[in-house]
Amino acid sequence: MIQVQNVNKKFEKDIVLKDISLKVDKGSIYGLLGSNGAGKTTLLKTISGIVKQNSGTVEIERKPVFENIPLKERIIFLPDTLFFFSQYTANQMAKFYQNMYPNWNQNRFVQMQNLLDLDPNKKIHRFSKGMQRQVAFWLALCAMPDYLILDEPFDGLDPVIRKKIKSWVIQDVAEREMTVIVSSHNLSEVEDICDAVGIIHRGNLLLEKELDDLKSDIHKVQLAFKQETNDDIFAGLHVLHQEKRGSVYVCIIRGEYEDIEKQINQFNPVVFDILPLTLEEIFIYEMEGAGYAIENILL
Amino acid sequence: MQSKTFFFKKELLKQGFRTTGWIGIAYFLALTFILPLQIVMDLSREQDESYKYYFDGIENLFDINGPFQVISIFVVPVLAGIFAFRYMQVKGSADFIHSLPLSRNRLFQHYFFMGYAMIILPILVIGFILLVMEGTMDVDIIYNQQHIWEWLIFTIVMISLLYSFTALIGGITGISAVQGMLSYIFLFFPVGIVFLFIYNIELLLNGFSAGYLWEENLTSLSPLIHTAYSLELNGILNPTIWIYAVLAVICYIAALILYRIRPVESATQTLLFRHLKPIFKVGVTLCFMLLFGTYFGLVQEQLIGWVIFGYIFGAFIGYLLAEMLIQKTWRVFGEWKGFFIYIGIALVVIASLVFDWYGFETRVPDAEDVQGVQILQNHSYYSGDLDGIGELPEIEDKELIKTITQFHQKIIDNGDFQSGREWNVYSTELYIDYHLTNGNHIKRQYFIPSVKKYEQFLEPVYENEAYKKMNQFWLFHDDKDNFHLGLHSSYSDSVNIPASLEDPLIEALRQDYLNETFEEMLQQDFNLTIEFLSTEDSNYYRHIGVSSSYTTTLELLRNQGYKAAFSLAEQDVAMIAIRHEDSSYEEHLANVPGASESELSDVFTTVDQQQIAQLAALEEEHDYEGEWTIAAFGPRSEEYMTSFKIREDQLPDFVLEKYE
Repeated sequence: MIQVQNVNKKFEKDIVLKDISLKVDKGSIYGLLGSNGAGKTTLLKTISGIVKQNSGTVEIERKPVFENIPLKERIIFLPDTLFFFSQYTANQMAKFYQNMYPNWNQNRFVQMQNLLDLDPNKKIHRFSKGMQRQVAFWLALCAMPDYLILDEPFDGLDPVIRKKIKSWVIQDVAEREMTVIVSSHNLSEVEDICDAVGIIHRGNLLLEKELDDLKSDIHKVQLAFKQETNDDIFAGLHVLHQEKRGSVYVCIIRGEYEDIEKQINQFNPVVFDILPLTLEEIFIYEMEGAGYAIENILL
Repeated sequence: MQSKTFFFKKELLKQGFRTTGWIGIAYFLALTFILPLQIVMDLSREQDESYKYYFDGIENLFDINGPFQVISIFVVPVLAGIFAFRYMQVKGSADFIHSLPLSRNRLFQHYFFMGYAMIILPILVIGFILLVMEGTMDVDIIYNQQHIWEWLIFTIVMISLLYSFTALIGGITGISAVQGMLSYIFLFFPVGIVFLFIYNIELLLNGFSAGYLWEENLTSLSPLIHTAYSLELNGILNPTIWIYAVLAVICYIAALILYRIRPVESATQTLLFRHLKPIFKVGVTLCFMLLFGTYFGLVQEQLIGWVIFGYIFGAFIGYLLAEMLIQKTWRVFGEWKGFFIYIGIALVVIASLVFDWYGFETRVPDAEDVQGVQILQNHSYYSGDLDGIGELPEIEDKELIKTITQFHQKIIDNGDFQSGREWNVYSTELYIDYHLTNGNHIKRQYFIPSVKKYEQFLEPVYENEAYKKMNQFWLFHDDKDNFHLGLHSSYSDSVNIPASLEDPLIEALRQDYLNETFEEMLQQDFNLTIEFLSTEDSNYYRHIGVSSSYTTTLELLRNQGYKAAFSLAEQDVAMIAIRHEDSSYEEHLANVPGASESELSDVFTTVDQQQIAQLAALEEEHDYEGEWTIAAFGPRSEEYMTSFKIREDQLPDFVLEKYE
């Protein structure tokens, strides 16, 4: 379990992280969303024990991460711009990882090499960007980390590789209860794998949600009535958003499916649909409620 | 499986070697060429008679390709320090390395010692090779084991210090280039800043003196200057080297501590710690201010207006430069608040010195309070080895001390020093050190445009025994074993004096020197000098001029058969030319052989041997104030030998006849 509490970080006079608290459960995938410069990378580096926070605590399994070597042996951080030693081949890098990480799994390294179909004796910097990304994941996963911190891992990758890498990560989460934090500036890029999502904007964590909660909790409702009605129909419901197109109401309502159905049915609607929301729509409405326009923060 | 307890990680060392290994290999190759190969090359040339250099042996191994060795000591450790810690100055690698499960302590040790090994191993291997050569080859005429040990200690200590210092500087900056630059700056900085301070205070405060020897004591503040200096002048294993060894360890520990608190994210920042920036800015501004002040002080003859201009201009340049470095852009023309505050404070400080708010310039001690005085003339660091100075005698005569304080007051009242320095034969620079009864010292230094002007004060001083002894202190040392004497004159290069004659000659010189009057001391006209040559250091010698008043010495030399070496009468003179100071021939008499008949209308020349003998004999009675000049040519009539002055009443009649 990763626990971040009231973390502040300044670079010189700039405040990069402002009183951030978040929690990532063991075996879950946490998506950290935010535009460029929001503080995602700094937060991830703080969680990985690379950068030290000015105040607050960053703990993994209730132990501080910074300079905690036994913990760091089980954490791998993959930066947005990958780093390999210059002139190193995949095999040389693997040897380096093997020397650094005690849980290194050589069998897995050999197995995955067959899957990947690339020459491990070729210098890594000669590979294409997508290939390099795969090599980075290959090395990271063979170190068998319990915590995998990924900074913009899918940025600029084609869908095939993106899917392949996602499946690797999900597999490890499912099999060994690996905990993952993944950052992105694009919600749709990570919504299919995340269990929970946090949005960070200008150093503040704006909101944090379990995705299952979100999806089951918010509904898009379309309604039409024969006769004119007043707003009584919504009494007792938590309406996030409401608009009327002709005689059709379109509302976003928070609440249990059954409750909404029961309430609306009292008024005999001619049209009554309850539709699931895309994650993005949910966020737009949530953020609206918090006073932000999501377009300014994401996408 | 790797042993978990092993401190060094093999793969990390490998990686370190891949980035710094080339330095080690290049350094090893360079050292091979500089030392063992050079020695082998010299040995194979040994038969060559002309190659005598090594037959005298060497003082230390730096005598072999010394300049290259010094350059490598200056350059290699700083390079190694930069490349060893390159990883933390590049964002990607800094993040990666610090995400590894290794403590900062361990990371530092890995990279530090990898880089260190790259500069130490080549030295050790070369030392080993030299040792093997010493055991197996015939190199005794060149060096022995002692030389190898000394060389190893000196090189290792210097290199360790520069390397760990560069590592330390790496901890306060995030740019490799700045790391290298700052390392060199700080290695010169202590000497440079002290020198600039002293020079500028001398400029602003009349009479200020840092004391003699300050330049010498300063050099050890900079390891770089110390290296060059100690190889030139002192032995290489002086006590400073052990201080450096301790400093190297301190730098290493400080670098380690700094590394542990150094934020990773500061890669690519010029200066890491925010509070360093104002210090850096003030430092650079101050240095440039002093530097430009010094420059204008030297070039413009200490005119205060130009010096102040230099200060303001230098501070301006320095301030801009510091801003540019910190902000990493040259568009820094918006921030002037700091500059004006700085200039304001600086001008107040400068004004306080110029207008002497502390009463420094006018302070003359009360003769009652003075226990002793030392007065030195033209003392300087160029006068050679000063280790032997020891305790110089002091003037303790109460009357004389009073005269000196009056003289001092007179200098201040006259204010001669305020005009530029124009040197003539009577000019000198006097250093006065009052030793007060309460134990304090007052030290002043003045340029005296003309000693003659202060004759009434200086005559008793110049003729005082203690004064004479402290100004030629070496003449009164009893360390004859370190010297041999030589005689040098216009007519002969160095003639060696046999050991048996040394004692009586020194005795005669001391006697003549102590008997010299003020007038005689001012007339520095002699064509005979006695040289004191060091037996240890061929570059080093002292000399004393033997003028005509040194009768005892001259007598002794004549009796011992050295007359031929310094007397014109004994030379093969072919022609003599004479003229009066009002003569129409205004060029130097040396040009007479090339001059036309008409130009020489009022110059007397003769080739008659009898006349020549008579004129040459006059040399011994020459008079500096005489109005006639006699020039001698020989052994061929167009080769100029010497000239001297003489009074009209000394001239023989056959010369005067020409002018009647």
